[in-house]
Amino acid sequence: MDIKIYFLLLQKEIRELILTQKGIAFIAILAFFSAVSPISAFFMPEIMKSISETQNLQIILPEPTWLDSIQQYIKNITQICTFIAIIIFMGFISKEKESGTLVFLFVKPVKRDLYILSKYTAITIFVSISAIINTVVVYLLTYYLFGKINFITIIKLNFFIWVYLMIIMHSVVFFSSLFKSQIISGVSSFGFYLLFSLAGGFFSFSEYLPVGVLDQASVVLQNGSINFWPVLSSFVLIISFVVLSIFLINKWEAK
Amino acid sequence: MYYKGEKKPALDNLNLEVPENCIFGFLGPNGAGKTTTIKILTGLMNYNSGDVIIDGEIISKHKIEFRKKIGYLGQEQKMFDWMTGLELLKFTARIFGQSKVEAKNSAEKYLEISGLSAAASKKVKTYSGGMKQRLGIAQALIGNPKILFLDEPTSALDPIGRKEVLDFIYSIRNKCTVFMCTHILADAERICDYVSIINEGKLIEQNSMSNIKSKYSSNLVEISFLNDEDISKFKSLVQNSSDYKIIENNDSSFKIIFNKNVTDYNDFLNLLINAGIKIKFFIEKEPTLEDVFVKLTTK
Repeated sequence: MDIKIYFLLLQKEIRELILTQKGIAFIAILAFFSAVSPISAFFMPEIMKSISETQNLQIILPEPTWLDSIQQYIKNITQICTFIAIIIFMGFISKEKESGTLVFLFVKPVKRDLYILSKYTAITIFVSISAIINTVVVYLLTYYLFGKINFITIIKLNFFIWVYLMIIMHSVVFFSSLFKSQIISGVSSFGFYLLFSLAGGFFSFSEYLPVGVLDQASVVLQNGSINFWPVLSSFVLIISFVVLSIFLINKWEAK
Repeated sequence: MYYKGEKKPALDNLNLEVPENCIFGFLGPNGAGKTTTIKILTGLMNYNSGDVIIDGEIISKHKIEFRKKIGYLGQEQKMFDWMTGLELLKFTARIFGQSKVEAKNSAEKYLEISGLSAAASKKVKTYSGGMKQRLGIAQALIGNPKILFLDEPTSALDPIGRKEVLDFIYSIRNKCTVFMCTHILADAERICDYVSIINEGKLIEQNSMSNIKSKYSSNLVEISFLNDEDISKFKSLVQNSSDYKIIENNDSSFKIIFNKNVTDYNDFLNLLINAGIKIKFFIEKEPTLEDVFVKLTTK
């Protein structure tokens, strides 16, 4: 019975994300920036040249390589895309509290744990689909514009970006379960994102922490030896978000 | 039951006994504790002491099982408005454990009952206020609840929507117990069999609608005469009586309140007949629910 309810709720979440276009917007925006990254890296010298001509300046950029394309991609996904994703999902649970649709569900024979699990699963599915599309898009365009690149490297790199996005998006769901206001959950998620982005420099042992997960993407580009500790600690953090959300939602009262 | 930081209880020793298969009106002024009570009864809020027993079971101990026995429509309840009416009811039926086929059949049945079959494939967000409330009641009924909790089901509706919803609620009486919380007394008077009135978190009255009216009847009568001559004769006759008092005079009719010790009106009527006064009509006025409510809730 529980598993049926879980899949029913999950199905509802996925349909809602598609029909309200939030999930589609998330995937489309990330895919767009995945496509824009190699293109902008490829045309950057031309763009800079035309700007410098109008300003009577001389800016000479080296010939771009596939590395520039990938670095541009990492920057776009982990900065502007993450920011947009936070805005899209900040009301994922808090909006349901605000509007009263949570009450609609919770007076029915639905275990609150299952509701939370369905939310986190839905976000995992959308982040994962997005990661697969991004991997293919950035690989094909980089290959087309810069010549042959190693697909396995792109897959490995995107694995770490996927872990990074999972942490950020799970934090968004967590804050959304913590607060009733969408704005407060959005601001808290953004605060977490900023702290997470800056925290790497604070700890000498950051190579073991989730904050070190993006460094591993750079290690992949440099053909270095990968450290999986940040991935492990990231999953501990993600599971902690889920467990805390379950705890919070079970305490929640419709006041 | 106390709210955090408040010294005064939100609900104080509130004991309710709700008869089965009736429409039970739960009345009270704003802030009396109606919504708090309904949220406690539906398991949406915790409480400090006491228990809610429905169908012989303490709800806090079997929350999931209990929720199979209830239906709930909150005040201006939001539903998943990106779904169609049919999808929403199917989804709700599946939550109650129905198979896909059963859920479809139930959804179609309740759309029919609520008069929404024609709008089945329209998105809920396109529904009018009255349609949303009827759909809300339909989704609350789909699990065949023993008790249907309705929190201010008509407060946000225009007169037509209100009529539609009240007719719908009236049509489901005897199928389950309807626990309706409202501050619109005319609605309660129209459809409720039993009412309870709370004020400041305390129960102040609970009875059947007919009993409550007779209990608070105030020996009020209205009398009307055929002509001016009868009116002046009447006025001169009834002055200085200790048994009754004219409280309102409107053209040819008078509202008279009799003392509590007057058990019938025979002496009064004989007096008028013997004086040759011709009576157009004589009616004992029943108090409205509003009269009772105002009497009980104003200090």
